[in-house]
Formats: sequence, structure tokens, C-alpha cells
Amino acid sequence: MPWLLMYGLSSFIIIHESWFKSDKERSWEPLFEKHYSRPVKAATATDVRTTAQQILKDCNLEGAFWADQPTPDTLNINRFTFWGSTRLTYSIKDQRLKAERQSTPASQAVVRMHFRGGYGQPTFWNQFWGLLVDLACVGIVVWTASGLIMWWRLPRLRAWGALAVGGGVLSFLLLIWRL
Amino acid sequence: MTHRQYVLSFYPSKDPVLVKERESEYTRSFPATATREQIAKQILEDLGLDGSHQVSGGRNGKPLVITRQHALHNQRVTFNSGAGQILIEREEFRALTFLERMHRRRGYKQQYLLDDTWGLSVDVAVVTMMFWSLSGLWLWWELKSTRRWGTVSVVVGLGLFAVFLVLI
Repeated sequence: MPWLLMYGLSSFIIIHESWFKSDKERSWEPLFEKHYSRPVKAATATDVRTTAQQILKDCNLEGAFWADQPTPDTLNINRFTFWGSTRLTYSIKDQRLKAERQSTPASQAVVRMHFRGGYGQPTFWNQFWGLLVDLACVGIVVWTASGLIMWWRLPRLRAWGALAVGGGVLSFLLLIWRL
Repeated sequence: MTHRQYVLSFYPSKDPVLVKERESEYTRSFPATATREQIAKQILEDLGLDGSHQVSGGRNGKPLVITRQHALHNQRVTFNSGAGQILIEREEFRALTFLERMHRRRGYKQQYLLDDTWGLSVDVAVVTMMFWSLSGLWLWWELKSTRRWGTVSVVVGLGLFAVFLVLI
């Protein structure tokens, strides 16, 4: 139930994004800046990710993240949760590691849940989230299919059901054709 | 979308192939003050293709590229103002791209009534989904024979969700 409520609410926020947009840009608060040394031989995206994961482990910040190396001297890591992001910038040449944190408003936290796939990120809980997203997908498909079975089994409501199914299929096809 | 890479492995290329539809002369000239968006809209109207679209290029001597969005397969219109040429290409249909496109299509953002209609249908789907969730609670209360299983289901669902909110 919470997953379906979340998908419903987040879809509403996404489609009416301007209603929830804040004019104020959220600031990044400094967490720490320290000397840090780790050799980086980042040639491919996988190497960059592996190095980033080791840096996060050294900082006790393991979890879901994205990483990129915009210049040979800089490694950027975005360690994110539903409620905020921690941005780490590793200057390879200067051997300095800087971390900043930005919080996320509740409306955007729900949107983050919507976009979170789970698979492809480290830790058991991320993978488990991915599995539950799969289950929510199966739930929606079963919900749709079971409606058709119920419609057939309830002769009293068959005319209304036919109207709903016919109207739904027709309007969907019409939109697909015209859009 | 959570298994995108796996599904993509069944296709020969990452993106659908673009197939040439037609190429023609286009002689209309535009004032220097015309924006890319104004030029794109005029071109689409001239081609009888007016509708939801996105614009790119058209600066620093680069051709103007209009992506005319369709549900089944997008069209790409490339206007080369120097040569006075228009090239129209159509994206090959791909089920994955179609489903992802419809998932991401929001409506309301474009100036066309059809897009607003799609946006409205998404709103209806949102209301239905939320009603489905909340009506489950109501049914749980009304159906005494399954109340125990319902309790387990609600508690486990809410508990797990709360754990995720804290942990990831």
C-alpha cells in the first residue's frame, strides 16, 4: 500500500511540478574538508565507480551514489538518500577531499522515491527496494487483469464494466493515435 | 525501467534507427529577430506537422533540429537554412521506447490541447491509484474473515516502508 500511495502522490507532484517548485535554491552546507590520499586510475566509468565506492567506505558514507570524473584531476561523487545529497569532491592533484550536504524538501523526497530503481546500487537495502519496485509493478498488472476477471464474474455489473473497459481502451487508442 | 539494461540487450542498438521519410526544399526566410521556437513552430505548420515538439541546434551555423513528439514514433525535422533544405526522418518503432516515452510524457507543459488531455488522464490514473490503495484499508476493515492477514500485510508494508525511509 505505501508504495502505491507514493507512486500516486509522486506522479501528481511530477506532472504539476510548477506548483511544488520553490524559488529559493537550497544551499550546500559544508560537512568537512580534509587531506585525503587515494591513487586514482580511472579510465572507465566502472573504474570511477569502484574508486568512488572506496572513498565512500573510507568516509563511512556507503550507500547509493553516482560518480563522474569531469577532469583528470577531479572526481565527483553524489551520495544520495531520499532526504538529501552529500556531494564529495576529490581533488586528486592536491589530495583534498571536500564534502557538502544538501537537504531535500518532502515533496522532492517523494519524487526521489518514484525515480529510485534500486538495482545497480550497493547495499542489501537498495537491492531490496528494487525487488519491491518489481513487486509493485506486478501488483499494478494484477490489479488491471483482476478487474477484467471480476467484470466477467459479476453479471450484475457487466454493462457498466463493458462501458468502462470500452471507454478506457478507446480513449487510450485515440490518444496514442493522435498524440 | 528498473531492468532497462537487460531489456536493451535484446535490441541491436541503444537507440531506435532513424529512417529517412523525405527531403525537400524549404525557401521561407525568417527575420533575424525570430527565435528558434518561432521558427520551429512555423516550419511544423508549413509541413502540416504542428504539435508537441522540442527544439535543439539552430545556433552558430548549426542546422535547427525539431523533434516532433508522437506516441508511437518521433519524427526528426532538420532545417538547414544555408542550403534551404528540410530533412524529415522517422524513428523506427520500438516497444521499449514507446512504453518509456508514454511513462515520461507529462502533458500540460506543451501548448496543445491533446497534451493537456494526456495530462488529465495521468491525473485520473493518480486519483485511481490512490483510491485503490486507500480502499484496501476500507475493505480490510469490512471483511472480518481476512482481517488478520490484512493486519499482517498493512503492518509489514508500513514497517518496511518506514525502514527504507530511514536507511536509503
